[in-house]
Amino acid sequence: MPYGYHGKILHVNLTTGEFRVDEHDEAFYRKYGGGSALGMYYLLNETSAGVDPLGPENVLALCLSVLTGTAISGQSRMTAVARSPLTGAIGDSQTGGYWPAELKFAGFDGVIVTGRSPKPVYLWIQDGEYELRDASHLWGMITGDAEASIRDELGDDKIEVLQIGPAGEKGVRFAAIMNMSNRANGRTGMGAVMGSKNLKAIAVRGKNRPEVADKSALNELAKWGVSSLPDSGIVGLAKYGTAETTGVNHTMGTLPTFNYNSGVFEDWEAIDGTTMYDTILRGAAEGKQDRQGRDTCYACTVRCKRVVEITDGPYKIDPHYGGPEYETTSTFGNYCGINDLAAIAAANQICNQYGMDTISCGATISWAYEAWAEGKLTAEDTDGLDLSWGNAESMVKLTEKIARREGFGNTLAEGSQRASGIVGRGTEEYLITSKGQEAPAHMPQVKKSLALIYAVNPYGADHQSSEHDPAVGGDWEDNIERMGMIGVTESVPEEALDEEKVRYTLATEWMYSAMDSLNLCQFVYGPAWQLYGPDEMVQTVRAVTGWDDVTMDELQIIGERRLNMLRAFNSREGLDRSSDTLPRKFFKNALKGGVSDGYKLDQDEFEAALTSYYSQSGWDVETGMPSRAKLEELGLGWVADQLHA
Amino acid sequence: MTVTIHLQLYSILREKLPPDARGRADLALHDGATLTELLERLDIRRNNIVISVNDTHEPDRSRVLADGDHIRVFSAVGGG
Repeated sequence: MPYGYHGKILHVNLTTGEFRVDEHDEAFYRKYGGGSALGMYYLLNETSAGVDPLGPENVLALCLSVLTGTAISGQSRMTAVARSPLTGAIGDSQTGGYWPAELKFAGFDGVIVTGRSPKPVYLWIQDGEYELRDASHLWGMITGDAEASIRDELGDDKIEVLQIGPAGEKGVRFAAIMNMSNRANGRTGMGAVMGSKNLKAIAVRGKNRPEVADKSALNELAKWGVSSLPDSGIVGLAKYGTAETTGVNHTMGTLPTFNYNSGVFEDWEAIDGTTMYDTILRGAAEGKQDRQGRDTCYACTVRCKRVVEITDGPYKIDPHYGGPEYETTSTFGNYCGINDLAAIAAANQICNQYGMDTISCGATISWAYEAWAEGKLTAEDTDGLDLSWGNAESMVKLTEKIARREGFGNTLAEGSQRASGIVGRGTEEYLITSKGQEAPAHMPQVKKSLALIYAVNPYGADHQSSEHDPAVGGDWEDNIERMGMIGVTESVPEEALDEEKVRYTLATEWMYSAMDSLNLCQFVYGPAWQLYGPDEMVQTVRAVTGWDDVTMDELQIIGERRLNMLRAFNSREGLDRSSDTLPRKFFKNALKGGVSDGYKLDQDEFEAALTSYYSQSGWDVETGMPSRAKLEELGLGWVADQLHA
Repeated sequence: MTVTIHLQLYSILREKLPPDARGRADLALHDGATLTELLERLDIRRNNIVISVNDTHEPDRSRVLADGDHIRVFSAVGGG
């Protein structure tokens, strides 16, 4: 019998309203693990080259893993994959929350959505049963209202709702898929894909918890996690949130400021995680924020999610919509030179109500702020808004305009790369995109391995696809044992981007890729500072699935397999080495101020790293395409047949 | 002879000081005291921390502290 999974994937064609249930055997699950790799199995099998990201033929795969819904921290996650309307490349995005576990309890390991419904619908799944229901009355609702309406009409307030907001309905190219009204499959525009299918929501409820092979072993791992948390590398992140890193990044010169022109922000302390904890977390005024101002995902002991409440002042924040992560305080804050934490929380709330990625939204606004500063945009372009650095009021207004595709917001809703094409006037010089996706708040000018990852990552600039440089540099002594399990045995200088750094980057990229297939949280599991290391990751898989001979090497291969599938999809769409690029400004403009003053990337060093990366990956160094031999080695001969026909 | 430094601890490191202090303290240290000695006094044993002295990153734990120095200490992990 299967342990951890049901062996069932629900497949719905929204054009015809037809369902089917795909059943896969144990070998299939052990090969792909779930999550992104499972989704890519469907994308590569059920789409053809040239698929329109917003057309009915695009496939939206929402996939769990063999671990989802079990009683241990960091497992309740879901990956969405589809061709991205933002980048034109493969799209890939993870979320946490309770929805992933509840879908598993409802009887399925994933939902594959194809076609386009003639009218707005939502999918209701309960204990192995499923139906499409009319969503015309929900269309246009913000997330909190739609969630409440669905629970009300189905008569169960424990139902978990995955949905798009109005931004997804209107095709904002970085629209997110939301659950709990505050958790997001944020990146790469998966919400726009869902909106293009007229699918408003997927509501789930069930009692069908998966059997676990060794409950006792899993329980021991869970208890170890609880007892180890206070002494772990994530204890600060748990209590003070991801924005605890704001001051660290400012000090290290890695806090992207003024649209990535500087690595330091003078007013960083106003938007830091410690400040957030003291001021706007729910219950902070009474010192009760640890109980009221922190939220969690199913079965997770970490409780890192922020819950903000503001009842006075110009920006009222409803705690239902959560609170900003570090990426969000950065993109709406230091990227734009804004030091108003309440305004940042307001922008975050709009993104969660309307369903938008806070990284791309904030970074697209910061692109506009730089264009304004350089005189390339005026009030005539911006509906009268003053986009001077630091203008918080305009930032919040612009966020709402984007969500509604109103006025200048309609231009920015296309993402910064397309917006620069619309505006022209040389504004492409201010882009901070790779493959058309806006860069997150970790600076590759200083963290050199991220220069490589931002460029080669199949779905564009991403900070959660590998371990960053400090883990193999200054923090090496803390990580030797865990790194050894993934084949990294020597420290590499943080400033290096040589063959050894590429080897490290690739090894950690495979591990992160495995985690995106097993749908494990990258704060809870990882090769360095995380709560659980590679050894516990293997033990978790063994305890849940009963695959007692599984090893870290096998999990690394799952990660490598996923990356090759993502890469093959892009190769099929004509993307090659010339698509693995970084923004020009990263090479051209030296950073200003602080410890990273003068830093910029070197083109020759970057190109050499790129060649080394392809070579070490077993890919063609000229094209970056996976070779037939590599694909066959990974059991992906069927992909090779598509790619090398 | 002593020097007085202005200390600010962030995130979980604040718990090295009483809750009311919210991570802030003025501390008297002996003349010639180093960052290492300050960390020992605070019982901060983590390796992955970042320190700034007078708003400048200071990786050298043997740095001798001067009267009036403003020291910030951060825990260095996390993400987005």
